[in-house]
Amino acid sequence: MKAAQIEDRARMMSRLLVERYYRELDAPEFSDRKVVYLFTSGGIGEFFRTFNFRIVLPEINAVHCARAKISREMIRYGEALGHINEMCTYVKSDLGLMVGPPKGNAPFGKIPPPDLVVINHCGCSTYIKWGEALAREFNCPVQIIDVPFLSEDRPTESEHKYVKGQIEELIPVCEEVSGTRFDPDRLQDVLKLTEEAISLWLKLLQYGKKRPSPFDSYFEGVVYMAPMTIWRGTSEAVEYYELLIEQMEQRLAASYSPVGEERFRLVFEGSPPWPTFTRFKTMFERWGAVAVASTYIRVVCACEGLTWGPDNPMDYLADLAAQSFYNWNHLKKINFIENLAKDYEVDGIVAHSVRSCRPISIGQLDLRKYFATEAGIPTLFLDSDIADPRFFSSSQIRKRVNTFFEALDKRRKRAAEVKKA
Amino acid sequence: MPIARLIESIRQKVDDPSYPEIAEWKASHPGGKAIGCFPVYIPAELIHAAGMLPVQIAGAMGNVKLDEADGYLQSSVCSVGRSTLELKIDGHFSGLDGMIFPSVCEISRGLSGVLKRYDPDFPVIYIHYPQNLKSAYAKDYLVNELNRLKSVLENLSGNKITDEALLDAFKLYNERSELLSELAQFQLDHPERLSASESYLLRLAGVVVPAERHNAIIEEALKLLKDSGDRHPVRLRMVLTGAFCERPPVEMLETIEAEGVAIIHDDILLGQRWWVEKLPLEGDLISILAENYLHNTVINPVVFQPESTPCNHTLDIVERTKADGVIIASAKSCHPAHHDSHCIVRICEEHGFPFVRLEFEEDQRVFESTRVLFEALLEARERLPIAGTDKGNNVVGST
Ligand code: SF4
Ligand code: SF4
Repeated sequence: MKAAQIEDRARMMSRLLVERYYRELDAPEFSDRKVVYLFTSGGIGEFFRTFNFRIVLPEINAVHCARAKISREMIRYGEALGHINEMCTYVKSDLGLMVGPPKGNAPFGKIPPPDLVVINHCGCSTYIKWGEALAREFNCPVQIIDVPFLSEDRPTESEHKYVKGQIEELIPVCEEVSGTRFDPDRLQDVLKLTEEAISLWLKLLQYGKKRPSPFDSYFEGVVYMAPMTIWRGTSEAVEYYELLIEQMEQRLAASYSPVGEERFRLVFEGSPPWPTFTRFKTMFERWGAVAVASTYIRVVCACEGLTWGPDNPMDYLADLAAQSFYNWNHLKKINFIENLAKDYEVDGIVAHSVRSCRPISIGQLDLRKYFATEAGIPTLFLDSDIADPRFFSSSQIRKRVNTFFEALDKRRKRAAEVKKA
Repeated sequence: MPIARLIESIRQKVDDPSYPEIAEWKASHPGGKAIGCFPVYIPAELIHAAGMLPVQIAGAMGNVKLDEADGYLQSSVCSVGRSTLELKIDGHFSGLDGMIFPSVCEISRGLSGVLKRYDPDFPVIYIHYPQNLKSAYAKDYLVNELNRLKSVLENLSGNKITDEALLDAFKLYNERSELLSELAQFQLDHPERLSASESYLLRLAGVVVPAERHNAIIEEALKLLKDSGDRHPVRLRMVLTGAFCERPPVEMLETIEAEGVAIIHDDILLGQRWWVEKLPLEGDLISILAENYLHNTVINPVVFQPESTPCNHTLDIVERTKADGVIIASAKSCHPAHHDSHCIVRICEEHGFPFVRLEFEEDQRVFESTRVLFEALLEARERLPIAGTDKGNNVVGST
């Protein structure tokens, strides 16, 4: 069934929730609420929600700058501030927006300055420098939740205690900055909503196993993940994912595929080239290629197999943070992607490497080596950037995408001939 | 032997990527094992106490071509990350019996994973140091990490790490800290007799040789230096910051020094000078290591110390040493250094310190733009007073 035939209510809803999120950040009725800045990987916003903080996620601002096609300008402002070297372009873009001439006034909303910066150091060391820079610019306190990188498959007892302890230590800090007393019952309620939303979210990811997959886990998934990031621990998030599941059921009943006719099934690894996202999407769409599974949308704290639940709120929060996808070690990631490839019966893997984001990109070439040569799964490696459009070479990327699918096509035809023979 | 000859003899050896000293050490320590330590800091005391040789991984310095490594790591990875992998692939690490990667940044972390996959039989240990130094939970966590490392080292070496052996190692490394502090003080007080490039070579001598021998080398150097005369012209005294991990080519420092710019303080090979104060010798030794990591670590870009960031630290150093300016030298693609360089520039501007901002790579061979940059700095100095808050005397550049 064609894309236009089923209304994508979830996409619309996601957009409305994003708009509302930005509106509320600057709404007069919330102006007495303090502002906390957090990062996404390991970002346990629900904890801060219980202190009535307005939660700003600088990475999300950078995404929206890129989607609003102003990231190049923001990056230029960031560079004018002296951030001249090769570094994460999200940082340059965000500092350009917040400290440069716009002073937080973005087309998608006015971003309030922080009263507290919390660096959830979870898989990305740039968070530390970014958080420090923001705290320095806005002269506000900065705290850290240091989440040890998962050396094993799951957090060890010692890692867990350390993370949990740090979250507990933040309670008096949050109370002081926000002026709101910590309410354990409220935290538990909020976490129940988180758990509910996560279980719906994980259910959504399973739909990619269907043939055709009723949704694209990368090109649509990034839209669907927004509420999981900015509306954590709310009934809005739960309702949103209920709606999404309903929509998936409808699509399934109608044998709907987001590309019309599903020809190739892929796993996508890596973050999107935001400024050129639509152009990038078209390159795959025209081949009838669907990302039936992707890793980027797992950056939100919402993974399978957590040890704890809302009945042990602090343990649950620590577990959510520690098991974030970008905190996984290289072997765990490869293993996981290989399982995705098997379980979702894919034709190939696409790794999009981001020059300026090393936490996500390091190891991707090795990953290609492994999948393409050892595991025998065709793998396409592409290289551009997450926020700086100058690094996206359309013609080069298109050429590589086309060559990849031509090869997949040939491979498929050969296999069919062999079968016939 | 004059100091120049001692330094020259070190220079001959340090850039051999095959680490011949490992084989020498193994020949005199039958059954002994050598462990590679990725920068910046690894508790060498523990390795030593296990009867093993800690080998500081210090890059290939352009002595190997990064052919194979480029198939595993993108060009946006710093040179020390790529060259470490290349050295492994090319067989230069055949003398190593394992490697430890600390949690400096995602390069160290990612590389540890890539190496594990590349050679599953090669022991690779990753250790996460707490970034939340103030947390009451950090110490227990780190004690646990150190005990984990201890037992891995015991298994690898086949030796138990006894308290006695660890205490001896503490003493040995305390001695090294003391000698290196003396060396740094000499570099600061007498740049005309000991240049930074020489001081750097003397420290570099310690990346492979056992600490006992390194201590003897530094001791000898200090003795020779006392009787040495002026050998270097000094027109300007500057502090170098940002080269704490990937190490700059010695020639880069020599190019700067040839212009008459003395580097009186630097952060090169910072892992050797990790402790601010010597380690105490009484108490539970693993707890001492953990506590010192939390409270006695030198300020640096890869440990979160919000009250005393590398930026404020640079300001303190410049004021304490009465330096004429700052050289902000970051390895290309070293994000931690780049981030800090921004606020160091700002501090320099606020305080009117002349500064030069440059980028280097360990395999860099040409330093013409570095030379031009310092020439410009010296010219500007002749035209303008160096002290004060006049922003006009800043020279910003990047090579
Ligand atoms: S380096 Fe990557 S993970 Fe880190 S902030 Fe930038 S984009 Fe996000
Ligand atoms: S040089 Fe910089 S980027 Fe490279 S490993 Fe060291 S700290 Fe990380």
